[in-house]
Amino acid sequence: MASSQKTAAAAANPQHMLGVLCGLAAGAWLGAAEAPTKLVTAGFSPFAISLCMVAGVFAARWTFPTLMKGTDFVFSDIASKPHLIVWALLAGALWAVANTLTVFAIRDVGLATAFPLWNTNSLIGLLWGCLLFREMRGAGARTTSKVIFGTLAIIAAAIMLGFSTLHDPGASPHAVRGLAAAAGASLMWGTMYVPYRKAYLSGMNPLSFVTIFTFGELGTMLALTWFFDGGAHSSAMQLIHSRQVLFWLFLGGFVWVIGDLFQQFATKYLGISRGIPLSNTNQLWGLAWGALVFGELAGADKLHLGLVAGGSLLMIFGALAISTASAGANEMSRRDEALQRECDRYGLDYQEALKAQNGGETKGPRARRWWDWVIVTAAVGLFAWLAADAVVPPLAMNWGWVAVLCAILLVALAAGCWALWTRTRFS
Amino acid sequence: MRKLMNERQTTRSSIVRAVFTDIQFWVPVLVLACGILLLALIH
Repeated sequence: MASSQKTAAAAANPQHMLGVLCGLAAGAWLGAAEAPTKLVTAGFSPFAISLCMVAGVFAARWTFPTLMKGTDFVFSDIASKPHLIVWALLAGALWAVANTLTVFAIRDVGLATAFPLWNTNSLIGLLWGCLLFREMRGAGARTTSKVIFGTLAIIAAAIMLGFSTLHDPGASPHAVRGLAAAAGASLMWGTMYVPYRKAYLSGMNPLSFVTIFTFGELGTMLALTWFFDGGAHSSAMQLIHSRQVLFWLFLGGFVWVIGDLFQQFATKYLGISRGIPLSNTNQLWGLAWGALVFGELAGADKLHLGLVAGGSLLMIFGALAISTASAGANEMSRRDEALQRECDRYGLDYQEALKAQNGGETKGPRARRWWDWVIVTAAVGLFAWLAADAVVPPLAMNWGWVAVLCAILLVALAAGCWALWTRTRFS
Repeated sequence: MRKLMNERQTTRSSIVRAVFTDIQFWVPVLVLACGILLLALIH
């Protein structure tokens, strides 16, 4: 009986496990994105750091993701759903504002308090998913309780992991400001998934969406730096000329863009309510980089180490609960109603949107054009040019763990890409 | 030529109307406005 129920659920959402794999790969890559930025130790403004990282994200978009689907496919996909351009720009703007808020939050209350607070974005996402896209309706008590338990477990684990890194709990004079910034980031990052979900219900390819998204990010960061950080006198101008540190921010952007692509595929195949908590396992990986590579827990006592072990286990249980909460036929029919609404409003073909939503290719394969190779060469060349002058600051790092964690990242990348290619051709 | 241009104009304005009358659009817009306001207050 139980096995027949499982088979029916799997048939209802055939891409459930693919979405789970993408969500976990997103967690690993997004968690690693912070590691290169730790190497930027000079005192630049939050706007300058955020702007350079976003510039890295923008450049990274045009490296190997261009080879997954060429520009010909991407621009034809965008042209067939032009109403999503404004949504993707909006999502990019939300990300840019949220990311800048997190830099302020870390500065004022520290990562230990700020990170768990903005990780509550999964609750915001769950709310929008239920209210706007009929997610979780018809899911049944067992599936719903698995998703809610998993989400709460991941948030509780985030709090435990956050406090495990707390060494100096001295009160900050700007604590209220920092808490407001972290809460704001949570709201922004939870809401950012509304445009994501909107795009995938309409059948847009994640690579097309990310292309416009990066323009929204970069434009917003340029505007914020100009208006709030002294315009031409911003420390961003100084940072642009510091090639020895600029590479690390660009590398952070590169790692982030890979994580975000997996996150986009997870949202497409699982929806917001399951996709966000799985991506939020990034904190576990962030902690692994901090503790194993940078030795951040070297002087930790038993209480702190207990928090790390307990928090990590709880986060794994939370991710497991969500991973096994596959959507059944009832829940999928509610998703299809939301899809029908999009098609009616924006004049889209329902069958085509449904096929795209399930991972089918709606447009035939397109050959890569010569300019795709030129774009990729130019983007990779930019990274190589910056890397040539990059200087590793005199920080104590464990290179053995760097190798192990990089190997895990490569395995996650290979597994994610292989699964996406064989099952959906990156659709 | 003129007919084609008129058709494009109509399509464009119907897309704009569909976006701006979509209640789901105003949720992220309002949240973004709040975020920028917060950033302006704390920076």
